[in-house]
Amino acid sequence: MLVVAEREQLPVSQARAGEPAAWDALFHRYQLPLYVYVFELVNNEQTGLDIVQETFIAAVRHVGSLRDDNKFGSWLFGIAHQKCIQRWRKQNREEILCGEIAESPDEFENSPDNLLIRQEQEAEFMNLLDRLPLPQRAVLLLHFIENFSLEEIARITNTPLGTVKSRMHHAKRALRKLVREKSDQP
Amino acid sequence: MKTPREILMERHQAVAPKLDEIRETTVAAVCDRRFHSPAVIDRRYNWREFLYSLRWHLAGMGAAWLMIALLSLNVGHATSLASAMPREKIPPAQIILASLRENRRELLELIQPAEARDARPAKLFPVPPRSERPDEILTA
Repeated sequence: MLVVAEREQLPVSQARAGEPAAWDALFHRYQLPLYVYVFELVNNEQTGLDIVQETFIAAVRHVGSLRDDNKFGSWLFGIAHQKCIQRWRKQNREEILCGEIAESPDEFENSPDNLLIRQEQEAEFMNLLDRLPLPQRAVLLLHFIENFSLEEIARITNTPLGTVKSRMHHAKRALRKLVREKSDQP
Repeated sequence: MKTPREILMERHQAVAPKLDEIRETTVAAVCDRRFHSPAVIDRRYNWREFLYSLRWHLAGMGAAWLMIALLSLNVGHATSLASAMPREKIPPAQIILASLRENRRELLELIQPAEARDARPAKLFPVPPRSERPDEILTA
């Protein structure tokens, strides 16, 4: 079973000093979560791999701009998110990001592990995830993959906190509806 | 039952070898001197940080220069008024010179009193005419 290690000790200071072993450990820790996030946004394997590589290179080059070592994960996801946006802009798909839902959010305190999905619902879950508008999908993925806080998600996506809350609320409501519907079925 | 994270990770597990390759390539680049030198990595950042630390000083100096520029603009505007006089209103050179001479003469009159101006300078050792001089006997 895969478990997200919360606030684990990462060798960020060693990586900052240029130690290859530290970079290897950091990239090994984040390579798959980062790829999952990017792939689910761009829906293309090669583009996803390219963005992961670009993110790694950018991380090595700009690690000096990371102020808090404990925020390495969200910083790395932020770089990847920016790379995804650059790709979207190249493809003239900004309009996808414009679908905003202005509604007051409810309280969000659930852990991503609270939402359990049966094996027969997995395909449906992935379908639903793909059908969500990109902003909602990005917020939900960051929550599921790395259990980032709302503040961290706001920083990664460069979005106001209220907007993140709203997106999360709507995305989770849609998912819950699916799970409930499927559970009610005999 | 699985969490969404487990579903997502398992779905993309097959791409792990490719990700390992990417990681190894990037780490190899870190070993390269180009990346390894912290001076090279952080040079741009250091400059940015240096300028950032001086932001208030730079802002103050900028404001001061802006003030100076505005003041010099105002002075320039005042001097440019004289040059903006129409050419027809400027008298010819002869009239200007004549009026200058007249001004100078009036100034001299005011400075020097009339008696002093008319009196001849007194000689320190006046020489009398030859007829008034006593006979001089020249002896060889």
